Amino acid sequence: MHQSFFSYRRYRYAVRAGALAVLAILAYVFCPLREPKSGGTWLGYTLGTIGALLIIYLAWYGVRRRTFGSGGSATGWLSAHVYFGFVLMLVATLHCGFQFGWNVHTAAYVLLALVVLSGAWGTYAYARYPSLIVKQRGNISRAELVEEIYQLDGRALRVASVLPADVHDLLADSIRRTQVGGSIWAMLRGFDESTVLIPAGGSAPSRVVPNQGQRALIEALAGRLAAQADSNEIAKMHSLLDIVARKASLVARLQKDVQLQSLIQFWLYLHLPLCFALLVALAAHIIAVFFYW
Amino acid sequence: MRFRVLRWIRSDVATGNKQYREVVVQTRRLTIGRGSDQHLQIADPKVFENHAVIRPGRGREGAMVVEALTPSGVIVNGRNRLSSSLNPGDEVRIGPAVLIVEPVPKGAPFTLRFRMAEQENGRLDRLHVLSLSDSGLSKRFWSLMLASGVAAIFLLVPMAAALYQPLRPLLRASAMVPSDGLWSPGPLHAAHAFIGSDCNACHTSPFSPIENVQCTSCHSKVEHHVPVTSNDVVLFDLKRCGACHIEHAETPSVVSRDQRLCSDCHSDLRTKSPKTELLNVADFGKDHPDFRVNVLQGRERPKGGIDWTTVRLDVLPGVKRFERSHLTFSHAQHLARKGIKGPDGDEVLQCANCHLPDESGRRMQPIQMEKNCSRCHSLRFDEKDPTTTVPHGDIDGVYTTLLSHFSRRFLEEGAGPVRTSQFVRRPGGRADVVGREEQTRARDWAEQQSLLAARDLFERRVCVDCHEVTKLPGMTGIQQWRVEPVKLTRNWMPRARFDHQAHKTTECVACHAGANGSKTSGDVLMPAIGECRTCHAGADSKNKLPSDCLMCHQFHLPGRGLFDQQATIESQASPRAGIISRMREQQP
Repeated sequence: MHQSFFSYRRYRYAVRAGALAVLAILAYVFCPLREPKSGGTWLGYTLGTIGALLIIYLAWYGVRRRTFGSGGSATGWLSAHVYFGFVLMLVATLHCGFQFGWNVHTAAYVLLALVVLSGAWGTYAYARYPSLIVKQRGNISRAELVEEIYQLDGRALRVASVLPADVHDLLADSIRRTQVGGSIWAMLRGFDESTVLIPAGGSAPSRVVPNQGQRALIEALAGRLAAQADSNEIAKMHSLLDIVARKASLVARLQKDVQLQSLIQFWLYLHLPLCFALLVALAAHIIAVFFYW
Repeated sequence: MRFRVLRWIRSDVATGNKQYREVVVQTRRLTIGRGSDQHLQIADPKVFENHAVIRPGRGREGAMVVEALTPSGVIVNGRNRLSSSLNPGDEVRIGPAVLIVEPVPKGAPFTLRFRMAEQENGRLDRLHVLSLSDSGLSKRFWSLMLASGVAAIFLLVPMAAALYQPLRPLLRASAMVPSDGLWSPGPLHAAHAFIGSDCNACHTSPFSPIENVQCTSCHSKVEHHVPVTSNDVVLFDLKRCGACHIEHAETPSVVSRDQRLCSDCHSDLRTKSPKTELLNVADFGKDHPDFRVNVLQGRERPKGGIDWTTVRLDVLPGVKRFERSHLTFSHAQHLARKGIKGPDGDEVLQCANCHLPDESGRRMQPIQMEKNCSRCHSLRFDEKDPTTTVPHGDIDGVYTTLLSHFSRRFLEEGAGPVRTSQFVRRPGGRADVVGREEQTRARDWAEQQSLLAARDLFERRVCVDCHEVTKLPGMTGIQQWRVEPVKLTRNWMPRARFDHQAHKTTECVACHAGANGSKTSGDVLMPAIGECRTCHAGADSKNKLPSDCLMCHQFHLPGRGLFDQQATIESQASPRAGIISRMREQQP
């Protein structure tokens, strides 16, 4: 049976992490310190040690993921990783006693915050996107979706090959300039960046216009259709328009799929590099503290 | 000049003829690239925004050159080139685009045939990037970049500044360059700001805590809390300066004011230091003993003179404490509402007529006869000669003054008893040549008058107005009177600091209650703790002025000996300690 990492073993790690959080807050509030709270007090050193150990434990999850079959269930590890990750942020904040500045110590804190934030995004992504992906993709895989679009393109070109050359040119250009995915930003945004070159007509020069949802192409084809007299060609144009409209809906689905897939992956492209940077910053932070004790 | 571009569209289904679209461009340079402003636009991610140009070359007329604007170049006849001359039949490939130079008759525009490579096999699908892993984004690459960036900025470069002296000035000079300044957890206290970015002014050896000697090398005169010769010193053995003085903290105070630093010992001092006279204290508002004042007490030495000692007395509301200053003074009389007789008639006196703050404004100047009393209390002794006065505080001087005064009067004014003989003078000789007999009589008279005047001063009018005068039995002459020595308490509460300046907006009698009703100078008019608690309360008070220990007390106390003698001895090998030991030698 599938068990969510949120509720793993009746929230076992949520309870443990919560207990650590409560303990840390109580220690912070009630500790009889004689000096202003900071990382340099005995409480600060204690919380700092706990925080550093937590960071190493959480980073070890990355190693654990790549070695299968030993040391507990993967879901358990993930559950602990998520809950202790959030508590780590609290421990680090109490460790520094809310003192911040332009230095390696705050840099490490900021990196930690970014790692935790990207992790939070990841948690959100895994909670939300999988069901959305399944829902909008229907029963076909992405490869099938891509193949179907290619096939529609081929059919459209075959239909256009017997139509006037400029219609064929327009269609071929629109296929060439149809854009799914592409840059990282385009994937994440899920915005249709397709364009099409509308050739010069009358006094107007040729120009590249946005072809979002193949609308510009459909508009241009519809314009040609209105000027058409040959009934055979009219029928061909109708079927061409039909194919383009079907393609437009498939492209939109593919676009959405690409967006959701990249959203569910992208946080890890932040989480991992930031985590490595954090480990180095943590080392620098500890060395700096004791180098100039 | 003109360029003619023939762009292939398709082969006609029926005839198999290739169909082209012709575009003529009027320009000197034909631009080719992905950008929408290019003459030949190639929509492909592998092509740069402005990838190449075709322009007339040097040399013979009509020569053309293709020039790549990016390092990736263009492929001319299968070879990668940055620049190449173009001849009819040459093939130029830029990404998926194929350009073929057409042979043209002389005078016709330069002509290119243009098609997309994938059109050849009929496939129009272009490469779509559909997942992040295909987009060139690499976790490994960015992990490496970020980690090494962080390591360089926050660890390696600062470490270089910390360890390699020649680099220090270069790295520490600018805030924009990473240096070990990035390791500083907070700003220096303003008093230490002059140290600037020189971390090693205090942090002399890596991976070891700052020792007290780093502080005492400048603050060499800092004294201890307890006498350094006493056993109590062991209570402070492990105390570093840094235990109370926190540098690099966000709060700009270098002195930790938490009163628990004091009350840790002082709330139950006797268990720490069994012989202490001090009472336990934990908080000014809730747990502070009554004030105790230092009162002077004189004890006569067997061989004459007086030993002054101080006793400490509690100041309690309603309990009168007395000081034996040997003065006779009534505050009530001097501060009477109806006034007191002065040299220019009746005057109403205020406290500030006599009690003036010293230069710091914190304490009061000592009361002095000459400054504070003599305007009204003159030391005249001869009604007939009001300009003459006796000196103050010098009994022998009083007698000498009296004697010389009456001798002069005898001689100058003919005062004294009727003369029994007249001298025969040689005309033109000195008038006042006095004979031996006359001299004796004059001296006797002057002595007699002096003693009369002295008795008047010591027993009736002048001295006794303010002083206690004892008549010594068996003594004669001027020796029969003794003015009891006066010592006024300069500092009633030497263990605390009080700042009159900070309280000057309040009336004096608000704290020194009863001053205007006090009839004897023995009254101790110091306020009890209750007076202070009207406004001051403990450190965590919400509705009164929070007052921690350091508001009135100090940790480093005068006369206790140097705080860190041990460290100073150990550090005599270091150059800074040289300065310290020299300073120390100058001390008595």
